[in-house]
Amino acid sequence: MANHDVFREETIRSPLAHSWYIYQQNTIGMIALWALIFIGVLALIGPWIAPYPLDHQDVGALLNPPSWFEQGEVHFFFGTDDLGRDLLSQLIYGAQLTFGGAFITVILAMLIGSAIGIIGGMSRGMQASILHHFLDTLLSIPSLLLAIIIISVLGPGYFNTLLAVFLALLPLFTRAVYRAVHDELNKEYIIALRLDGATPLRILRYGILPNIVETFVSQTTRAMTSAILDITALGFLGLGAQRPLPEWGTMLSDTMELVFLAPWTVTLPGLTILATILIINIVGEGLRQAIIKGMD
Amino acid sequence: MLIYIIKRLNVLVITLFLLSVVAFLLQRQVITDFVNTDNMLGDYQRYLMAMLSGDFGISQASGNPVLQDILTIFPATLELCLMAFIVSLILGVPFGILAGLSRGGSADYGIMTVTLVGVSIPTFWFAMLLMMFFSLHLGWLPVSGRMGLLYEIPVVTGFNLLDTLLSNQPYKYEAFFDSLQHLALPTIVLAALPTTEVIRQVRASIGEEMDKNYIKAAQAKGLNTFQIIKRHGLRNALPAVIPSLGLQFGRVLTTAMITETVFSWPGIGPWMVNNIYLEDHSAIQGGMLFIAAFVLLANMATDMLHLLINPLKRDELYGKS
Repeated sequence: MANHDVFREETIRSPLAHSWYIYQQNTIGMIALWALIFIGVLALIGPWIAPYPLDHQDVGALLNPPSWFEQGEVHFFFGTDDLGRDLLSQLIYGAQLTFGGAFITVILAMLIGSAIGIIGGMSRGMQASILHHFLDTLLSIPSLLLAIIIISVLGPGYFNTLLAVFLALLPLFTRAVYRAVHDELNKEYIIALRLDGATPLRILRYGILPNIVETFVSQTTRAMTSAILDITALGFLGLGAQRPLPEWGTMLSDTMELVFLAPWTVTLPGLTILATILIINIVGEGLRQAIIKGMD
Repeated sequence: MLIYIIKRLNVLVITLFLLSVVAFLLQRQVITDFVNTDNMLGDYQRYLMAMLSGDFGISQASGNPVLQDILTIFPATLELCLMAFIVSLILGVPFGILAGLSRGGSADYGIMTVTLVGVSIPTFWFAMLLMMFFSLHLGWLPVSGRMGLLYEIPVVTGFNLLDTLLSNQPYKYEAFFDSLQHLALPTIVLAALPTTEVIRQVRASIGEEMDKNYIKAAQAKGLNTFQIIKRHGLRNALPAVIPSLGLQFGRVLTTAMITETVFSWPGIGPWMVNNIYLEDHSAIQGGMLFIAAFVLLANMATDMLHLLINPLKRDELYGKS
């Protein structure tokens, strides 16, 4: 067989590029990734592509079933609710509130929480010990309970929900990053780096950070799913976004009394939430596996 | 062991102290509009004393002492949580073993897929789906509440199942089955989360144990898989599951608050949400301290249980391993 490889040179990918290569072999993962990008795009440009404006009510079409039912009409693709609002438009608008809100919250919590975690992890003694024990105990209170506690102080509302979820996610990141940095810091290659006279900042940049990417990825997906679940749950309990904001959980609590009359107003928003979370979980798990393999 | 207990108690006390400070500052912020005092430390001291003697103040909504309100409501929540844990163990352990034994096989794949859906499904939506199907469509199970209104059962323990059996009404068995029926749907909803956790844990630890040499020795002796699992695998795999169950308790309690809201279960969830609406601050504060303290205590208790059952962990504690 002819060998076209004239220059017998092996390109060695960086571990991260290699991880990405491994991830691309994962078909389900790639489908989920595209779906995730799709939801992200919806959250970004949703208001421009939604078929109806947010406050549009069609009095002639109350409780229209979805278009695939016999009585359904195709211009209300997912049907309408009891006030004649188009369900599809509401869900598209809701992507911004639920998914977009969760995304921004998680990114902020990741940046700030990780920063605290890194500072704690790089320091030793009393400071680190206090942080460690304090976080341990704080983390035994689940994030939704923490969020409810914070909401009970701030009062209900969409912005307060985001703030509460942000505050509840902080310890999650701090704790995970703290632990990862701390474990990494005691390994021998770091000690070698230190003996070479590397400054702490350099150790952090070239020694530790590239090796704890997996922690970041798995924590971010966990935080993302729990942020969406928390935001929708708070919306459902009536503590989060209030109607007419079409936050997915709020939509569900609104249609609680329509369960019997119009089941689609319950199933469709719920399916949207479930699909979003499943997609995030699949992407996150795939990335994590790929990074672990890529590092080896 | 004693040293460890003292250590743990120490952390617990400090955390509760911090919690009480936060709660105090909140209350102060709300009340300063009415009372204008500058003596913060003295206020806090009085506040702490009141808390320690179980005086959480009086609920503005119901007019009863907050602690009394909580204590009448909380058993309903606890009953639900305990049932969910029992169901999760009954379902989770066998499926976890099955998945752990067939790692990478089709049974494992199927179980893990269901588990993934179980983690991803929003509680309130799951509850509404079950309610739509079993209560409205099939009409098998009641939609809401703890017991039919026809039965009158005196409250002894607060746990409905026990109370119905303890009472000496002529219809006590009917009442018992009625409250079981009412429990069914909320329990299934609530059990989803801990069950997935139990399955994952059991699968991981069984998978780990089964590769070890003593299992191979047992196989060489001629024991069949069932015997190996029963005598060796489970005994070494189960203790690792306990601490994660303890950590689940907080999440189950929170999920219970949502489930209760859907099923109009008269527990701490609807009570708390209602009080947040009413801005009943003494009730919110009391409820918050109570729930947080309960979760922390439950965690500590499972930690202790884990220590008692698992001698390996004790060695780790004293740096012997």
